[in-house]
Amino acid sequence: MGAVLSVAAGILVVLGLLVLTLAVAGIYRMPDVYNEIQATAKGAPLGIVALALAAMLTGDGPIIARAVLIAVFLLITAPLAAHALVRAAYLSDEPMYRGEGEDASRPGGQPVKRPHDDASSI
Amino acid sequence: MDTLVDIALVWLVVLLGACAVRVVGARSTVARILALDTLVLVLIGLLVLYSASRDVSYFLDAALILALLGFVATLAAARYYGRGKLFG
Repeated sequence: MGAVLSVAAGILVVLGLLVLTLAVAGIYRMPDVYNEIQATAKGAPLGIVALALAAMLTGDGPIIARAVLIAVFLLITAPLAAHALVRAAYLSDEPMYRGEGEDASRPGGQPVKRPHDDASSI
Repeated sequence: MDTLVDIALVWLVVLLGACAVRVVGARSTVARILALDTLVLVLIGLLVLYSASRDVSYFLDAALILALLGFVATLAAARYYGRGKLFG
């Protein structure tokens, strides 16, 4: 049983490190701030949750309690922080990456005409 | 297992350094706030792993406080930068 737990903890540690590395790579490789927030807001909390699961496998009571608290708290607050950051970026006119090539849903770069656009006076 | 944990701790410190470099060399203020937030999160992961490897729980207290402080700090900085005021 001890060996199985040890192997499981090792796998969880490697998984958490991998996801955290992807999160940090996201802030280096992504083309604009919105994509950076997108990458780290998912990667960092999930990596820490994996590390906290590995910590829970030690079977020590106080460690399990605190690890559960940290994991739940991060899963709740990370999306809120990401939302606030994206809102700040949008309100301060942060440049948005438009990508190469044409936007398939907007041919010719024109905004899509919606049915209720002409009926705005109603 | 011990070697794995040691390598993991060193790797987390490398990630911490990468975040610190990004904090200094960010392209905009929002990117800087984001890099600081990520740095705090990586530090939390480092504390969790260290606490599990040493079989003591008090590093996790520090990690919990860092999670609380990091969230409030990110929220305050983002709201202040986006709208020029914190509340209302």
